Amino acid sequence: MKIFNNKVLICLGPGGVGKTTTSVSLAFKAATLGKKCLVMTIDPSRRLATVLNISKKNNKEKLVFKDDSGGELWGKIIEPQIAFQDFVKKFSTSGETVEDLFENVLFKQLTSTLKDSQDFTSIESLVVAYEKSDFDLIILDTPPIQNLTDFLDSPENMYNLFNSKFFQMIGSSENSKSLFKKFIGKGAQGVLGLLSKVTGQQFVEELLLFFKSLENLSLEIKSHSKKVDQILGDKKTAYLLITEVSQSKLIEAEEISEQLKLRGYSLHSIIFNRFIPVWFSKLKDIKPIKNDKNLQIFNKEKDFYIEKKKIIDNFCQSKLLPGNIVEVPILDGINSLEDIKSLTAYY
Amino acid sequence: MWKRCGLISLIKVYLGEWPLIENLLSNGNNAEHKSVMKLVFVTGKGGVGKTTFASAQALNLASRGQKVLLVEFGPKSQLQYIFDISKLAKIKYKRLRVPASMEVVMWNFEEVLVEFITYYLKIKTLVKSFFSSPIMKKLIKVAPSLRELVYLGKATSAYRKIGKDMNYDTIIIDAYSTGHFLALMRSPVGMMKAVKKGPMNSQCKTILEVLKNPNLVDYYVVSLAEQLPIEETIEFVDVLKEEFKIQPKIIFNKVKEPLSKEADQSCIFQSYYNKSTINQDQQIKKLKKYNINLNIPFIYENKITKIVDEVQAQIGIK
Repeated sequence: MKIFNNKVLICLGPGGVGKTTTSVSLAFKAATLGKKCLVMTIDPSRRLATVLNISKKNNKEKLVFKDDSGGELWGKIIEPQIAFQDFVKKFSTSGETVEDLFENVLFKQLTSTLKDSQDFTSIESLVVAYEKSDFDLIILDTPPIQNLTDFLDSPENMYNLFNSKFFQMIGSSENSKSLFKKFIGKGAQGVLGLLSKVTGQQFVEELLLFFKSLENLSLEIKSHSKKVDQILGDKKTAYLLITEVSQSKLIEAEEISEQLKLRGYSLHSIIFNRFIPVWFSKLKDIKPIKNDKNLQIFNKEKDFYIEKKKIIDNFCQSKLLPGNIVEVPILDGINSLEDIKSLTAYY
Repeated sequence: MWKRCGLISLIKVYLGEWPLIENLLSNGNNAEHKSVMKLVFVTGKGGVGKTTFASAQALNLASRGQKVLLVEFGPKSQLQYIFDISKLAKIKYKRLRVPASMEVVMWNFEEVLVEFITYYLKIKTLVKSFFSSPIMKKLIKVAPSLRELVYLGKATSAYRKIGKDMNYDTIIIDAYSTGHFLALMRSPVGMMKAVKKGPMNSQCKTILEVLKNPNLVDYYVVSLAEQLPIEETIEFVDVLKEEFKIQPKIIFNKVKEPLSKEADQSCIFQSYYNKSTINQDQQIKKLKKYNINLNIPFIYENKITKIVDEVQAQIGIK
């Protein structure tokens, strides 16, 4: 598959379709082709960490597997809080304010494992790994995507926040209480006054402190933002869609593909995961089943997957899909590293 | 224009001191209803059939004469595929397949937030200036856990006597998948730690009181009888119990019927199928000590509307 000649692979797809497992198996494939490959995931479950034998806590790459060809598979579990702090440290011009910021309760809330921060730290971690250029190929397993535009825009939104020149309007002040008073006496009074009616003064004070700590982040964030766009739109960055064959998942998959097109990026491949059971491709070999109940179950299963096959054929015919379509059958018990490696046979 | 906002001081905005939930219940404020409205959250690993179960359960209760509100969180609608609702209908859907006693709605973060702010500020022009401020716009986009708080605030508003009255027997919420659901549940806890006093704090306190009250709120975790979803379910249920003293009900979805004992193991279909049902039973046993509520059989249909109808029929029987 030519896809492994890219520098970045971004695996997209609805939730619960086996994206993480697929991403790791793709990385295996790349390693067997002699590539030095890094797979990154933000999967919150403990399972992948166990399978790859990687700590969830340190946000570092770890060598998982070395192939005879010289290829290597490295894994990394993105820890949003650490990734976020690293980002802020990188752009901070003053050590003290960084500490202030990390102590700020709202910052802690912001960086805890919420959806928005997962989106942001996923992309940010990709950029960090890309810039180090230690790897031939980086595979990013994205968090379940509700809206692709939100995902791809998450760095932009975050940079805007960090770049806000909120405080330059009034100059700086020492603590939140005097800041608050200053605000109440100045132009922003309307909005902050209203906000404090709804949330209470303490919340607004925390908020002001939060923005104040952000003030010392350098302007380089802007040029960094361009770098992100460049990586996401690079010719050597390929997007891969992983999905299951059910009505609702296919609709979601189609939406992701359309949103990608709107962005000017194109979909390289689609992987239909857990497509049909292994026995289904050997229907001709199955002898007549004598037991009535078992025959009944067999017929239900068979008809169900025949229908499923029709759905997928229609889907592929009616939509403009990329050249590469990969079908991975339903395989029970993909639990160990070896199991995941066995999936590479399908690519 | 900001100067005119000095008017604020003249506006009586009701602050703090919301009635605690115990008072509410003992006061019998729900006199119109025979029983207290029930709030139901449906969660589970991605792809296990949360939306299917939530929809089927809503239809089931509605068919038994209950007044039901089925809710999903925006911005993306999953329920539109189940209820044949137009993509254009924004917050309230056209009810095509829905029984008369049932409503389906998507809560959109921005809209619920406006509703909430309007409730407090009372005056529309104030609300307008609040939301047209560039600072607010920026803030709302990234404000930590604001989205989660707003949804929880809305879900529990009727119990806290805030905002519009909600006249339902049951509100079913097709909520986030497990990881994000925990973030949702933790948002008021985090905010209370961040803000120790004032309206924000007391709001979060009453939200938590409702969420932890087993007489008001039920939690359903949908799972598949497969290793990964079960591990995630156990992890999730344990955290929910530890952090919130909540004991959710577990629903197994897509459970396959075992073959008869005379299965022919030399047949590739039977040996494969047999293995998977044996594995399935072993997995279900792992949750023995938990509160398993229901096994829903695998539905041999590909159309989501048909699947929901079948699941509803199954729930109805049990």
